[in-house]
Amino acid sequence: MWVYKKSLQYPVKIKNPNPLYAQIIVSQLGGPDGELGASTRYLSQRFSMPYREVVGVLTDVGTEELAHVEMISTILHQLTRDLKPEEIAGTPFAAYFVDHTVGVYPTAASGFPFTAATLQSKGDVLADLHEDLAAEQKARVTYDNLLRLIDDPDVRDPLKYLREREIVHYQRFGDALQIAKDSMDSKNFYAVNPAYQPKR
Amino acid sequence: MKNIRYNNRCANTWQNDNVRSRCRCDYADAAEVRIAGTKTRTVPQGRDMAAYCEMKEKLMALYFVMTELELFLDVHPENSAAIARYKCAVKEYGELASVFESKYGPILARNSDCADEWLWVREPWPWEG
Repeated sequence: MWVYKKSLQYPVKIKNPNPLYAQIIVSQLGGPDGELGASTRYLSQRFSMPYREVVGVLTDVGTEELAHVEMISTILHQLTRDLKPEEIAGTPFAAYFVDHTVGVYPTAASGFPFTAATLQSKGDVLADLHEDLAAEQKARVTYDNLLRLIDDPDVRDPLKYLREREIVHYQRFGDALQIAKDSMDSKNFYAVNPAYQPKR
Repeated sequence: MKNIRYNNRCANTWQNDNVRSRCRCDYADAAEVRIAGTKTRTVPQGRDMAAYCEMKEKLMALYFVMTELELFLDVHPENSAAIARYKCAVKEYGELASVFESKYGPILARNSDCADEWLWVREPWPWEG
């Protein structure tokens, strides 16, 4: 089970509201490579993962992603809480505002609501770990793209931190993949379906 | 303070439930660890297993008391009787958790540092069995 800690993982202190930034950053909450999907992916994959060390990585990264959900939500809240309607009208954020006011809602920047269709829990060691490695890289690219579009240092600072976490997670999933490979049956040279082997 | 009993209605839910038998069953299976390839630590067996399950259930019951009181206190923050019960549960849970962890391994990852090895990934995960 989980314990909530009343603290962000990394400080978020944004002084200037900005509807455009909110409109693009929301993708890291509910978008195809966002933190909510990441957490759901890793925490779901744990149950069919046969190696305890790898379960440790999935648990820790999945839990940390929940802390990132909170950080992204905080960024969105601080970017939008003081916006006046006239500052929203005519911006891409207006469509979000109509549906959610300045509440935090998990959606992609495109407006497509959060969906588990962009993540996978395959019940297979190698399929799942490769999915995770790819997911971390895709999330890193999303942060790269956000940093290309955002100038405000108050917003860039936590985004840079989150980008670095994607890189560290990728490294740890790489270690986990190595542990999994080392633990597999050496006869299974082509690494085909090593997780699901029901007894006959 | 000592009169506060934890086998109240909430805790009784655990006692009356089939948690006890399920717990034994889970760890009996875990004794022959199905996980291949990685190092695992011996899990409690035999008479020790009964003690393990008893302590684990007591911890779950105490933690549930805390969970329930936290929820209640969120909307009744000045209820001194609930606060007193909560403090008592926190203390009792903390003491029992220390004993449990020293015998059977960490409940929280941060309590793994009492050994040379990271025991966190040597003990079974809760859904194993």
